[in-house]
Amino acid sequence: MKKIILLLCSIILLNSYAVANNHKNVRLAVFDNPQPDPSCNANTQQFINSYLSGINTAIAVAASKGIYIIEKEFFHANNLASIIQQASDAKAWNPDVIMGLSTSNDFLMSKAFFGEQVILSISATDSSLSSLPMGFYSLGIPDTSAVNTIIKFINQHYKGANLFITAAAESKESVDFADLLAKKYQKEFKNKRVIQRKFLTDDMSHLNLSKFMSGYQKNDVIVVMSIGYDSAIELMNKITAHLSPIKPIFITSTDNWGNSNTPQNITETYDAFRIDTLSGGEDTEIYKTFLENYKKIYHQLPTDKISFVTYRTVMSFVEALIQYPPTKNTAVTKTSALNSYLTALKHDPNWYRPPYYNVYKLENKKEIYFEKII
Amino acid sequence: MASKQISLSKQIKKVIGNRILFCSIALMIIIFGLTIYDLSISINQLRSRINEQIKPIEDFAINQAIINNLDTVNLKIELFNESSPTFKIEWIREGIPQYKTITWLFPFSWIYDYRIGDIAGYKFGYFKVTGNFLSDDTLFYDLMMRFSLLMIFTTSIVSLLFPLAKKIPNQLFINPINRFIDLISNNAVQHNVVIESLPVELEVLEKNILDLLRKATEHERNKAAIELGHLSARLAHDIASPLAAMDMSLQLLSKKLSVDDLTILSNGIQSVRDIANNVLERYRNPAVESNSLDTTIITHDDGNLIRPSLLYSLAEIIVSLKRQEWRQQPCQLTLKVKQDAKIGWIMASPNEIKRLLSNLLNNAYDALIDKNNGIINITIENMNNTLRLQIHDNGIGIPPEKITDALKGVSFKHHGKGLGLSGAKLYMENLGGKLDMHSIINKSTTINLIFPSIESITWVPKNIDLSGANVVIVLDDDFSMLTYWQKRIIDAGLLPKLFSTYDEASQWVQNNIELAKTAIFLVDYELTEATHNGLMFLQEAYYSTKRYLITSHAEKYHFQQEAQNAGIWLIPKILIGEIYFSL
Repeated sequence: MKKIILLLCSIILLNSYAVANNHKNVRLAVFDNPQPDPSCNANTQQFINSYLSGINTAIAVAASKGIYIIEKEFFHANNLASIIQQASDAKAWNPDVIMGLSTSNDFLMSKAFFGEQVILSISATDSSLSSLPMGFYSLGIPDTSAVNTIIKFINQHYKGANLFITAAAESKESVDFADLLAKKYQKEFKNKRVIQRKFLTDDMSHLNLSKFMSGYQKNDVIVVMSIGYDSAIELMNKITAHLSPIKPIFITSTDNWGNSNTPQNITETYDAFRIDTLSGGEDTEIYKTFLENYKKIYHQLPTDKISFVTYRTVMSFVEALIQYPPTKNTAVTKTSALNSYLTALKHDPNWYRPPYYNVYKLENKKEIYFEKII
Repeated sequence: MASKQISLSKQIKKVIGNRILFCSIALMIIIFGLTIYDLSISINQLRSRINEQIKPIEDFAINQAIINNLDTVNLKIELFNESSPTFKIEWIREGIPQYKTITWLFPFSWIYDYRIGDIAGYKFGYFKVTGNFLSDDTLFYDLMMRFSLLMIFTTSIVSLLFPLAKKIPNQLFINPINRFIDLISNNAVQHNVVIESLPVELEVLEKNILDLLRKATEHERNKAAIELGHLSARLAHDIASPLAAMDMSLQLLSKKLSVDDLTILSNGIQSVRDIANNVLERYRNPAVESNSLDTTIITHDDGNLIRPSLLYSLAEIIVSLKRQEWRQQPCQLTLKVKQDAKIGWIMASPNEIKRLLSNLLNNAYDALIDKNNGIINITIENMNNTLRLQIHDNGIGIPPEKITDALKGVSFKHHGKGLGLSGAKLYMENLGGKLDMHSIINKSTTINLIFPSIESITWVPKNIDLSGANVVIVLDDDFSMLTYWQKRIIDAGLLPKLFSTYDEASQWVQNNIELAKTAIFLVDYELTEATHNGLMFLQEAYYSTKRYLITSHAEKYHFQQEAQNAGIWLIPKILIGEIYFSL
């Protein structure tokens, strides 16, 4: 703890020094919902710590490169009033860059509050994100790629299986992903049956499973697109209990912000795989730098993969500023940061996105690395 | 202009009923107002519940609308509607809310437009919220509670207050009053007016009304008899004067008529006088009945006072009564009064004397074995400054040895005390007189009543003084009396001025006042005019010292007092023939 305080003090001193010497200073607003899944209440603080530790690591690395970042968190709760309040506060703080917005819903909604600056989502993947205004960019791999990855995975392990897609209706990302997957799968395997079902996470406890699972047949692959990892596992447990003694097959693309433990006990017997959209890239140089600096600061390995995700997001605009600096070498502003970032994206449309997906197999209370899909 | 009549029941209904109606309406308005107020609170609570339940859906809808995930909102609303028993919502994306408050739709529905807030320039329309009052348990309970309260109050008002306007007044006032009206009108209660339990006060009132009705009925019944009594008394009185005139004329004719004719005429006059006396006595003293005089205390008028009484007059009255009383089995009952004894006065209670004489005559009558041949003679005469009244009968008599016992109160007619004889003796002794008795067994009994005579009667003249007078004014409503006086006055050499009415006499006196001052006034007391009498006339003629009031009431105490005070001479009508003119 003392070391963390020492580190923060050094950052503040460095910032003060940078301001005094007219170095490149960046105001970074972190706007996010640390608990997007309403069914999950556990380990929120741990995730926030992991979330911020990645940012702090990036701030330290950026400082070593002459970019001094002043960061402030604007975490909001899972309701509209809180979103509006925090968005208003964040905007009033006048940041140069806004990051967070981990869910596609948040990211899509942020267009109502923010604009004309760099607004980065750490993991949103919805296909409709491409329609967002200029400056909105997600470091998550777009679902068009994820759909291909899932189809590829099914084709490799459950060839010829029918698809039974369930999606959290309130999640735009899940709904769009389900639609995209259904269309793509149906297009590629015209003789296979694809069934889509929507549910509301809030209403899951009242879900009529007989009606919900109507049309399912044994060996169908059930794709679970939920708002969070907890609700995904809860739904899988319910479906398995309902289909018993059939042992169903589940594939989900939700995440636990990179934690290797499953958030809920798996109470039923089924085969479940998670296509991790956050990780991927652990064998890259950037990850090595992150790990090196992380260990320097925290003297331990990161607990959750979310730390690397936030690190990578910060480093995306730090590297953009370094590689594509403002023309007159002036102080960083919203506009100059935006210009640098847009230039970077022009050179690489997948700027700082993971290069591939990791697939994990879910076991009771933990998940095991299964394979990598490029 | 006659005022509009209104019945008591209508008046009570109008006065009390209007107030009750007013209070009832006011009370119901208050209750209704409270109900409305409570309902408004319930509706506000309903709105709060709606807002509370819709708020998450509103947030959800805004959220999803911003990210263009609209189908999900409909799904959310659909699920909400399935699970909400109270109200349903429908998302209207565009349009202006019409029902900004919860609005009632006939019969049990309501509608409310919940406006969704604008965010960052986005507009999201509104939720149309509809519900049914009957399906909202809380509101339905509130409504039922208020409605029940309203019904309870209304029922209470109707059942408790409205009888105050009709049923209770009917029970307490109208029916009893109608009953009393029936009682008074028909002297009977109609059968359709039934009062189960009459209050004590009304019972007393009814009893009093019944008593009054009974008395009134009796009064009505007696009225004719009373009128007849008045008429009879008047008749009896009116014939007293002609009888007196006839008697005096008979005396004048006594030398010209044969003894038989004289007896016939005398008996005829006496019979008429007996009838008149009998009628007058019964009228003046209703308690006098044929057999009741012996035991009943006579309380009429001033008859119980000891005062100057004319023994002749009293005896004549009792004789007349007895003749009437014994008419079924008459005996020969005679009253003989010596001339000088006719104006004999005694100091005694007239009623006591009459009672005493009645008892003694009854004893004499009872002693007669053969009534038809029985004789009872009564004589009154002056004896040594005393007046003696003797009753002699030819009955069975009393043994001489038992006379003392008889005078001590031993009755021979029946067991017990002979109060009549002993009481008479005692009374006579109290008057300063005495009673003695003589009897010869199987032959006769004689009872002597000795009264001390009194000489100092200042208001009865010994004669009528004509000295110094030229005119004699006579006022009498009886023509025979006027004729009688006219003859006597002319015979005396004076000028008679005869009047039959008060007004005529009064008018003449006013016109001839100088003559009147020296005139002699002979005035009958009872005149035809009900408003005036002879005493009043004489009191007006105060200037004359020779005023004579002729009356059959001379023995009445107040007459005697009045006459004495006014300096008026009283001449008992019975003594007219016994008082002479003096020059």
